[in-house]
Amino acid sequence: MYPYGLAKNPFPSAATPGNEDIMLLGGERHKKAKSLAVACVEDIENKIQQEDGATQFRLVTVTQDVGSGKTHLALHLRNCRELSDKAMVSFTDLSQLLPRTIINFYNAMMKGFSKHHFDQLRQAILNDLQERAARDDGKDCRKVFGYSLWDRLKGNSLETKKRLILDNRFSHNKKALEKVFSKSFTEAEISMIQSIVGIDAGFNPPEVENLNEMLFNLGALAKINRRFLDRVTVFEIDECDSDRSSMDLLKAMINLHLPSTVLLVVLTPAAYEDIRNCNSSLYDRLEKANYRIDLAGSNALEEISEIILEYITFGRKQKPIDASEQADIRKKVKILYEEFPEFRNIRSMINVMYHTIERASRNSSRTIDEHTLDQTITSIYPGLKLRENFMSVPISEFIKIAEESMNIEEIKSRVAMAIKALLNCASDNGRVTKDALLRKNGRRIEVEFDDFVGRKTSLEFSIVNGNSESVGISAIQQQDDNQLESSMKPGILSPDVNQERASMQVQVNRHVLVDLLYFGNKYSNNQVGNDEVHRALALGESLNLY
Amino acid sequence: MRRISLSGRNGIKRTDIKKEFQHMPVDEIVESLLETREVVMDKKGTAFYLWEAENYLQHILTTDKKFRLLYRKIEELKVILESNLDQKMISPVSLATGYTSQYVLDRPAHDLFQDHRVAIDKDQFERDFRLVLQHNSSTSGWVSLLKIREEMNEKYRVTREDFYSLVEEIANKDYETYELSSGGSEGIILRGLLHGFIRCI
Repeated sequence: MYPYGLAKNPFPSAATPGNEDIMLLGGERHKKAKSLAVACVEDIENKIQQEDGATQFRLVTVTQDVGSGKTHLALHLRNCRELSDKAMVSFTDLSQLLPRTIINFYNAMMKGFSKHHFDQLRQAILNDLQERAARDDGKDCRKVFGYSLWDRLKGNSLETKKRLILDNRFSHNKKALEKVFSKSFTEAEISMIQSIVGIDAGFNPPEVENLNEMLFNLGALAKINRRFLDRVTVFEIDECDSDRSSMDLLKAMINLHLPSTVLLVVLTPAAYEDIRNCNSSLYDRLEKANYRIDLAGSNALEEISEIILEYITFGRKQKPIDASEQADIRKKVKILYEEFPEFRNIRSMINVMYHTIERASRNSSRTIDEHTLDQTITSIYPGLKLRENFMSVPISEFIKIAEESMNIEEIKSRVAMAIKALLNCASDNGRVTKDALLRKNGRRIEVEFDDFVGRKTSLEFSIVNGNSESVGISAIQQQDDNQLESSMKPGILSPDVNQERASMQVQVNRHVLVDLLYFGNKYSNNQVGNDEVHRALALGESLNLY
Repeated sequence: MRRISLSGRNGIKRTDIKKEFQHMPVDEIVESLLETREVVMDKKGTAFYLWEAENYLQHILTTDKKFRLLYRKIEELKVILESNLDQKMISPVSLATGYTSQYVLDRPAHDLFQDHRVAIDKDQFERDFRLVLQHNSSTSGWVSLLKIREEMNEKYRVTREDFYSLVEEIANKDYETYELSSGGSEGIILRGLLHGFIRCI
């Protein structure tokens, strides 16, 4: 059983999106990018209708860093509902294309369409022929179906003959088809129609030998697509780079203005820069793209959190988890995002979530808790450690303390307890005497710390020389100040001798805060090991307490 | 000025001065003294304090251990430089790592002044970084970090490592403002990938 009532793990496990993964597109920025691509197709459709079939070509660029969802977006567009009756989309991944020859490029672009698209096109062409064959002057069209006098006498219909072709049990008459379309289509276009109608095991596009033939055939397919399905053709080229052959081909495709076609070029900023350095002519064309889809902020915390939640909602058949569970997940994602720059990327975070959901399932956990996250991260990223902490705080403890730190009242008393524990620890271990501690710290300690919700809080304690066993400490004044302007620096202390009373000021950043609270817990539970004593003494020293 | 000077290394609260000299335009006077750098204003606890420049140095020497350490090292360097001026040169690396003159390396003397990452005003560095980024921004907004470093090097003259360490700090702190992208010839390593491009979101 998976957590949150999920029937299966909704997060993809592959490093690149697969066919099932791309049905979902989450996050505001990614959705905006999709809207822009859909708007581009609609724009070209409108223009074609207004200008009575005039050639329309659009160039779209999608630029963003690796792992930010560009490929996911491109694959999603190929299968999305919004474009299903508007466009026929081919997806080509140049990283899988070696060597980058014209023939390989051409075949990859043709295979980039889904089989379903060609089946629809084939059916549309045969429907058109069937309609014309039914007319009195449709003799040549009837020949395409091999429809003879004998068929008529036997009572076979054109529909039956068409069905036989669609079921690959009968081949169409190629000569008749050529004759039917010879007046309205070029030789290349007829050749393409023959290949589409003659699909059996799979689509085999007409062969090409040079760039010209390739471009003619791509144009032919776009025209056929428009004529029979009334759809725009979209060629998506993923992983574009500064390979010379690829750049030449792209430039040629842009220059040719393929009819009713959108060319969507996906590339990283680094590849864009490389193209700028290597081929100013292509760069200039890309700069003048009709649409530039910018996935800026696609790796922002808010975007990643949204996507994570959408995957869970998707896995629950569009039934969202309740608000408190959503808030809990957002908090955990935020902590991971802020503490580990390695996870500031949607691909990495999805990977963490995939493993976490699997582990939660194995632990029979109903939610993702900090221990599951801890176990996941330490097992799949064994080298990953929390930075800037003195104590060896497990990730689960860090998450737990960070979450608890939202409750400011509780944290105040725990900070006081932890400071006292640090002083006692130093005294217990012979680091300093109690008298020395009092001399060093004066009668008061002011602790100023930043918490995990962006607040800065000040606490002031008085130190009293209590019984002989411990250094007493009591809070005499507590104040919250949301408006503190000073930048927080870890462990900076100042003897505030300007005031009448002798006092010390300790500024604590949130990593040190976690260290303090972690140590405080351990100390009060008598769980401080030898190694941790040394770390705690170093922590106290960094705060200049002794 | 005299009142501030009298407060010694403890400094004086700005609000106390205002109370004391209610009939005078204290803010304007303080502003002009800050401009001439005779006076330094900084926070102590939650209040703003004013010091005479020399007193402020004494103040931070007692309160900021990093600064104290750095200051001591600079003083050591001064002594070493004076005694070794016509002999071998000392490396800034040895200073940064706390080594003394026995770790003398053969780097040229002017290198000494290039390794002053710790002494850089980070706020100013960030402001300059942002300006250079905006100035060089292309239509997509992405700028090569190499380009920014080259431009900023004229002013800051920090080593490549120090420059990227500072940039990493900025990008980590303001992750909602800056976006990094992989590639390029130099930059910051994230997830084992070289990130050589940056932009403001």
